[in-house]
Amino acid sequence: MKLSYFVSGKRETVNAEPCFCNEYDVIVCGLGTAGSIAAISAGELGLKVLGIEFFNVLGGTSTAGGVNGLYFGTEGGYAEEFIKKYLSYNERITSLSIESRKLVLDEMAMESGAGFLLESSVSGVFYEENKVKGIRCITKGEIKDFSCSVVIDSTADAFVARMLGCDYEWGRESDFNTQPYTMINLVKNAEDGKAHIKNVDFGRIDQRNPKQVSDAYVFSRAYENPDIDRVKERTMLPMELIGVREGCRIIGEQTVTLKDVFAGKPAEKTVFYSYADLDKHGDDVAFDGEEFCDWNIGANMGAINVTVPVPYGALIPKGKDGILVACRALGVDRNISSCVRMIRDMFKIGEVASAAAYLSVRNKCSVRDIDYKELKRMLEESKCLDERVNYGYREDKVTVNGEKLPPGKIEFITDENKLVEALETNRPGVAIWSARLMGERCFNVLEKALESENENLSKHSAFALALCGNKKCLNVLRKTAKEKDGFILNDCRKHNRMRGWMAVYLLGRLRDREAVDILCDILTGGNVYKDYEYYVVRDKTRRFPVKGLELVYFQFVSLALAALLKIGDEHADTREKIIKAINKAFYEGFEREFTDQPELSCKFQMVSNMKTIAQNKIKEW
Amino acid sequence: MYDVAIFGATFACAGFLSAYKGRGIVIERNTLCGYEFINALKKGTCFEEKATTEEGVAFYKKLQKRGVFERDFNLFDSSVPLYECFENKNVCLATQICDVQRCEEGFEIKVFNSGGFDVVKAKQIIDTTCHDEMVISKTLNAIVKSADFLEESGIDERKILKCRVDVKDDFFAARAKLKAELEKGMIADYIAPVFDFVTGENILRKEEITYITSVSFKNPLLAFDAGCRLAKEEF
Repeated sequence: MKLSYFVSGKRETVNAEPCFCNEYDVIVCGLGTAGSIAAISAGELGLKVLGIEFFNVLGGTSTAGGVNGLYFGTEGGYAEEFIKKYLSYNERITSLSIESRKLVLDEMAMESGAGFLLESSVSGVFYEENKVKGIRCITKGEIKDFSCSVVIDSTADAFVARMLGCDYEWGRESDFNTQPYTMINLVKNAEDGKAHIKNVDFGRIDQRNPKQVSDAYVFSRAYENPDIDRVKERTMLPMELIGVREGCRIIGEQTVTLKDVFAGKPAEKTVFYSYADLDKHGDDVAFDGEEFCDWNIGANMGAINVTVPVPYGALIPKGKDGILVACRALGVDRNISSCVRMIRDMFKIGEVASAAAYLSVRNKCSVRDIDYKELKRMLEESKCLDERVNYGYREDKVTVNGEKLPPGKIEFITDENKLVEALETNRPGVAIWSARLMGERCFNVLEKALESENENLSKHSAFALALCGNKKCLNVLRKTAKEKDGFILNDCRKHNRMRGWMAVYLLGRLRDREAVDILCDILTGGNVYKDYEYYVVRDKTRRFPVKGLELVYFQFVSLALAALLKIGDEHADTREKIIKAINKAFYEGFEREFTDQPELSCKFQMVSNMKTIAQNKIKEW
Repeated sequence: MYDVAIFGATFACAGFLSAYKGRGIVIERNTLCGYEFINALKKGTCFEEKATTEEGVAFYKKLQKRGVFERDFNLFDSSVPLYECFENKNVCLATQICDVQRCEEGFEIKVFNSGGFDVVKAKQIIDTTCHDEMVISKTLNAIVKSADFLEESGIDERKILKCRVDVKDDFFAARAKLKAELEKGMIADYIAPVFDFVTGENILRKEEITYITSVSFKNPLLAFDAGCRLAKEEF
């Protein structure tokens, strides 16, 4: 048998002859949002379960992390009873869900028959061949070894799977950065005296680096939140756990990709439906994947919700056995990881893992070989898997004059002749994306529309053509970028884009060498946007203005940089000019042109990171 | 090799760091600093006792400027200045100590955190944490509203409920007892993630390791001041 563990971030393996203290059917590592449900439901299924948790409370982000609401996700499943129960505690025993969840999870844990080690850490994994045999953990200062049939890795960043040597990805391709983390504070309203939570996005960290984690905890709590109105609000306490949104993604037996979801490719062995917008925090989306940027910037569909069928194979690390990854580190690509991570999704993935472990133990088979039909039946019975929540695309949580509208299903246009009408409006996103889905079929209509005197129609047709890879739109795009068109579209309840930004992105997408001068001018032209009417709230979006960041300037510059790097990649002869512009733009201390926030803040890091990305590319060239 | 490793990111540790000129490293199992008072919701007593060190006085003034003493003592407003003491220092939060061994130059401390195992070497160790054998009693506290008879929290309309639990109770048992108290008609905004310990009087012990238990001081400012004093007089 082998034992693997990490030493100073590096994986080490030794031969081992462990003396196991106890034997379990299932060991759940990490009892956060997913792990707590996995351990409790596995216990209720009659399995012999051990749950191991670093904190002294179950629930992770949904308790110690301060995330009070349920941001989308789909209804149904084992957790519904839990939700009902903790909501019944609100305003009776506790004022917030984060506290009532603690109490209810405690009760459920005690009733489940599972065993729990709180304030304990998993430090090693035992295995033979590629099959997990047990876990080493540190509890109350002692090292203890336990054997098990199945390990459910709910450690958020697949700590066990990584110790086992599973392949994984981290962060985005351009710079391996993850989304910014959040620190949530408990705040009291001066007016009505009610407690609520308030979060601030901070910089990026790599959770594998303990120094970065520690510094993040200290910095985010020493930081005076500029968004807290000191007259109306009173900060009470910072949460125990920072809200990390992203980290490891295992290479699973199946991997969910945004491309497949957009293509409507049917998922195999679906275990539940995830549902949210591609909720990307941080304003430097310019450096995210092109599939994501097409949706978020090119079509301005950022806050449109997407339903994602999650397959069972996304929980199984490729080539490994005896382990299920039930946390945000499941097998998804980076583009879609921002969507498949919400609290309800994590409840469901915990339930799926416990049901699969149950079948594996009961039928004495590997978790890889369980009968999907049986798993499906169990999940359908609890409504964890329910075809009725396969919502497709929807516009959700839209509020008009204080009234919340019911979710509106998005139907993409399939008749090219119907595109024009939609492209004339200030909500052209669905039509732009429909054109992308149609491809060549819509070229005639859109190329004609390019010539229209109607500014909306001409420009939005150019965006649609660009997303189809049709270069006939380039003149319109160049003009839109050059005039730094500040018109804000209105497709989404948040994250709406300016037309100037969209044009800059699309010029890069088409690798337009003729746009290099325009883009270099944007990069080096300074903040000419201050006197624009950009800072007037032109629609009801909540994104303008952003405190502590010259957002309009930042978006133009970051998108122009991303576009130039793509153009330079394709056209080597443009590189000299681009490098010259980069050197001029990113002088020492340029960050202060964009933000007055501290160096470890999300805003400062976003700005500063542009220089790193540019320098890395120049080195590559 | 560090000159000193300090166990526990406590108020005493913050004081020590403020006055210490050598190379120190803080090792803390929790993700919090100053938790023994702030997050335990332990306000302390005897705020009339003055700080004896320059750094202790400066910290007091900083808190005063933030209005911490305007209504009784507001623990919560002391959080930001406390964390400022740990900024740009060698601090390892969420790091657990697995083993401490004597070595020729001092100590080898085996730790575990998100990077796995690691070894920290330090010439000396100061332990500011509270050990089980020092605990006389403990409570699990909560910030509550609708309970006039309880201790003021320092924030309008909010009180601190102290639920007495058995010294041996774990968090499952303690929260169950707290819930039973809350069901008598109180609503909790916040349930403390750490116990409020009552210990014997603090005595500075200099053995192989120096012990100065932060939570044993009458209030966080006295713990901070004692940490400053330790740095100035002993290190």
